[in-house]
Amino acid sequence: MIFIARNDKSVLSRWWWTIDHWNLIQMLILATIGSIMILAAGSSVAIRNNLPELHFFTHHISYLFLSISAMLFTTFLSIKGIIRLSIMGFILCFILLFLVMIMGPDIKGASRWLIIGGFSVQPSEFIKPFFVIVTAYLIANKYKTIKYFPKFVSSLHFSLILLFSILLFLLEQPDLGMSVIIILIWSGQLFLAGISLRWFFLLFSLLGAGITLGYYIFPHVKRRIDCFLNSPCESYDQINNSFLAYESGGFLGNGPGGGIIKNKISDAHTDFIFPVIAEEFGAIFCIIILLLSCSILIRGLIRVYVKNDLFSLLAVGGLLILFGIQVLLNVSVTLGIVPTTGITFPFISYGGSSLLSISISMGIVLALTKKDYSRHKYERY
Amino acid sequence: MINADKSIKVDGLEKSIIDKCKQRIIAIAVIFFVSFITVNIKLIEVSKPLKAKDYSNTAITINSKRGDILDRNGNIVAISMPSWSLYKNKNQIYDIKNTTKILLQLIPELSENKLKKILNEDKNFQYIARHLAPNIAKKINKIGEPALNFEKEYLRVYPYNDEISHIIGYLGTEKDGLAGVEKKYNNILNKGKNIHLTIDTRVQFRVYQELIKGIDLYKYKAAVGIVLEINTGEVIAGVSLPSFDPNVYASFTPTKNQITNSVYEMGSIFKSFTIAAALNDNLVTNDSKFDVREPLKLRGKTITDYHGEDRILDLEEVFTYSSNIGTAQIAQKLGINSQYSYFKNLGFNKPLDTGIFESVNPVVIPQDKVKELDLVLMSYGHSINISPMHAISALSATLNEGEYIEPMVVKDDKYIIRPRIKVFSTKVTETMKKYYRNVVVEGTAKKIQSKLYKVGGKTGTSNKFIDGKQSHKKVVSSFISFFPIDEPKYALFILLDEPKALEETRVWGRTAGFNAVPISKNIITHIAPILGVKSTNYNEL
Repeated sequence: MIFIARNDKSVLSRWWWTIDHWNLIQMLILATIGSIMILAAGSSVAIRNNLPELHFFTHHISYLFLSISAMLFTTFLSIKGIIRLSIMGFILCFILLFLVMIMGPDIKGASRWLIIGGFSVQPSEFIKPFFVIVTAYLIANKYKTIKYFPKFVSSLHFSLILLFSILLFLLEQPDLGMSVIIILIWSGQLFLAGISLRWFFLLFSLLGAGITLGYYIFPHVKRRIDCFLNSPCESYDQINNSFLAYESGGFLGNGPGGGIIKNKISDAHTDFIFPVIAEEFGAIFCIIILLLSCSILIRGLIRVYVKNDLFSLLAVGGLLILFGIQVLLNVSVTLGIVPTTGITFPFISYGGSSLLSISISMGIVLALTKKDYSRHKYERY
Repeated sequence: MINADKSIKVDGLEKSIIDKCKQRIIAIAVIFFVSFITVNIKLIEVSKPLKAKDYSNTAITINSKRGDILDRNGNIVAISMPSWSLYKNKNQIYDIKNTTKILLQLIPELSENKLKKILNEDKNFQYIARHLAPNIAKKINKIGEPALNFEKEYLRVYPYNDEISHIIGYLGTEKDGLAGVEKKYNNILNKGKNIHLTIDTRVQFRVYQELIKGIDLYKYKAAVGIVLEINTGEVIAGVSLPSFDPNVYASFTPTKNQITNSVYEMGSIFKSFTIAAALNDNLVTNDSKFDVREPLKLRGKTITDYHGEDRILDLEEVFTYSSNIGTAQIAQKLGINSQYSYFKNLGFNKPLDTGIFESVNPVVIPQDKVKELDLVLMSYGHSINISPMHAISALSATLNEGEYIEPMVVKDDKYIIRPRIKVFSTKVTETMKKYYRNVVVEGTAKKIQSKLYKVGGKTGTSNKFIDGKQSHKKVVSSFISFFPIDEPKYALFILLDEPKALEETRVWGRTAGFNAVPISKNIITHIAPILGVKSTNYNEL
C-alpha cells in the first residue's frame, strides 16, 4: 500500500511492511466474495426456513467483523504469544469437545454444537488451528527430553495421544469429515518433520483401514459412502443439483441473482455455496477463486520457506495444509469427486465457527510469515 | 532446558531437519498445486455448456402450451391443462415395498406386477403414470423417493367429451393432432395460437342428444347430423354417431368421421338438384306435365316410384311425391354434360376443405364413362356417392340466392374469402322454396309440420348395396330441412344408416319420413330459439 511509507517507523507501518500484506488482501477478497454470495444464496435458504430474508447475511457480516478483528489481532502476536494462545485455546476446546460429548444437542443426526450465550459454537472447528500449533510445537521439540519422563518418551508421543483423544471425541459426535481432516493435517505435519516415507505410507494405510472400519461401525458413514458409490440417496439429490448448477452456469454464469439451484440445495449457503457461485458467476469466476486460494497457500509456503525455524515451518505448513484441504474437499464434494463431508469453504461459506477458526489460522500464518529483520539465524524460545 | 554441549549437536540435527522440512514444503506446494489444477479441470468439464442437453433430460421439462380450440361463442372445446407425469429415473428405490403400496393406493389403475417391474429396473426414464392431478402428484412427491420424478405435461382436455369429437379430432400421446381440426391446424395450435370454430356448442349438444335418443327408437347403426348457416357456409353443428370421447387416451377407439369422410348414396334429395338445374336451364316450367303411370324401362332396368301416384303430375308434384319416373324424364331433358357441370359447381368433384382434416372425394362415375342409365339414376341420387357435408352445402345452394359456398368449421380468413359460385338463378330459388315447403305440407315430410316454425325440406331414402346387390331391408334415410323456409337461414341435414321401422309403421317406417323427419322436428324445436329464429306465432306468445 502506497499510503504507508516504508520508512515510517510506526507500529502500523512496521506491521504492514513485515506481514505478507498481499496474502491478507487475497483473504479479504475471498471474504468479500463470500459475503456477496451469502447475500445471494442465504436469502433463499432463509425464506425456505421462515427466517427474515437477510438473516444469514447480517449474521455473516457480524461474524466476519469479529473474525477479521481476531485475525488482525493474531497477526500482531509473537511466536511465544501464538504458542501460549494455542495451548490455552487447545485446552479450552478440548474441554468444550468433552462437553459436546456429554451434553451437545442433536442437530441433523449429529451432536457437534454447543449453545453458549445464544450462539451455537462448534468446538471441533476451533480446535483445528490450535491442534496444528500444538502439534508443530511438540514435533519441533521431539528431540528434546522431557522432565520426569523416561528418555524414550518424546513429545511426538504426546501429540499422538492428543490426536487420538480428539479423534475419539470426533468419532463420538460423529464427524468423520473433520476426523479425516485432523488426521491429514497431523500426517502432513509429520511428513514435513521429515518422517521417512515408509512410515508415511504405513500411516496412510492405517487411515484407509480406519475409514474401512468406520464404514462397518458407523451406519451413517456406511450410508454416505454407499451413497457416494451408488448415488441414489438423500444427498445424491444435492450432488445432482450441484451438477445442474455447474452446467446451468456454464463458463460465464447466469448473472448475479440468476441462479435457481440455490432454491433446491439445502446447504446452499454453507457446504454447497460453490455451485451457487458457479451458477451465477460461471466456471471462470470459480477458477479465479480457486487460483486465489491456491495463491494464498503457495505464497504462504514461499514466505515460510526462508525461515530457519522448525516450529514456524511446521506450524505454517500445517495451517496451510488445513486451508488447502478445506478448499479442495469442499469443492470436490460439490463436484462429486468425494463423498459429502460437511466441510466449509474457507472465508466464503456461512458459519461463525468455521469463519472464526479459519481467520485465526490465517492470522497465525500471517504472524509466522512476517519478514524477519533480526540477525539471529535460529531463534530460541 | 537444553545443555550447552548438546546444543551444537541439536543445532546440527535441527539444521538437517530444517533442510528436509523445506524440501517437503516444496513437495507439499507441488502436491497442492497439482490438486488444484485437477479440481479446476474437473470444474471445467462439469461446466461445459455442451452438457446442456443432459440438463434438459434430468430437469423438469416444461412442454409448451398448445393453443385452445373455442366454439363460435368462445366456449372452450379443447384446452391444454398442466398435469404431472410420474417417471422413474435410473436411481434405486429405497423402499420398494412401501412405495409400491402407496403408488397402488394413489393410482388404482396401475397393475401391481408392471409397477414392480418398473421400480426394480434401472433404466433412466420410465413412465409410471401419465397426467396425474396435482394433489396426487403432491402425495407421491411426499414419499420422498429420489428416483420418482415428475414431468410437467400439458394434458389435452375436451370438455364436451364425445359430442364434437369428429370435428375437433384428438391428440396423440405425443403433442400432435391425429385427426380433425387438431390435425389440420396442428402447426398453428402448437405455436400456442387459439382456433375459433364456427360450431355453436349449444346447437351441437341438441343435435347430438336427439340423434342419441333416436337410436333407442329407430335402432340405426350410425347417424349424421349437420346444421349449416346457408348464407355464410358456416357449420353450426356436426355430429357423427357412433362417437368417441377423445379425453381418455388409453381406452378410446376413434370412430369414422361420417360428416366429411364417409360417402353415401343420398337418394331422393338429389331430385332437388335435377329439378333446380332443369328450371335454371329453362328446360321445364312449373306447368310442365310428367306422365308417371308407366314405369320407365331403360337398358333392362325398370324405374318405379315408391309413392306411386299413377297419374300425370306437374313439376311440383314430381318433387312433392318424390317421383323417380318424373325425375328421370327431367334428367333425360337435362343431359349428361349439363348434369356434370352442375355437379362440378356444387362441389361434387373434389374433397371439401372445411378445416377438418379428414375429407373424402365423392365417388362419381367419370364423365366420359357415364351412360344414359347412370344419368337417370344419378338424377334421383343413385350411382353417385357423396359425403353428408357435400350434400348439405350443395342443397343449400338451391336456396341461398343460388350461390354455392364451400362450408367451413373454422373461422379462418382463407375460408371466408373463398369465391362463391352462382349456380342457380334467384327465380329458381324462389320456386324451390315453394317446393320444399310443399313437401312438408303435402308430401313425404308431413311429420315435421309444426305450429312453431315454418320449415321446408326434402326426404331421401336409398337402399344400401350389400355385396353388389341392392338390399331391400337396409336403407340409408336422409332429410334436408331449411328454416325458416320463407327466408332460409339454416339448413339441417339428418342421415340415418340402417334405421329399423317402428312396429306400427310396417315397412314404410324405414323411409326418411318416419325417422329422419321426426328427429329433425325435435332438433329444430330445440335449436331454433338458440339460433334466434322467430317462431311463427311469436306475437301470440
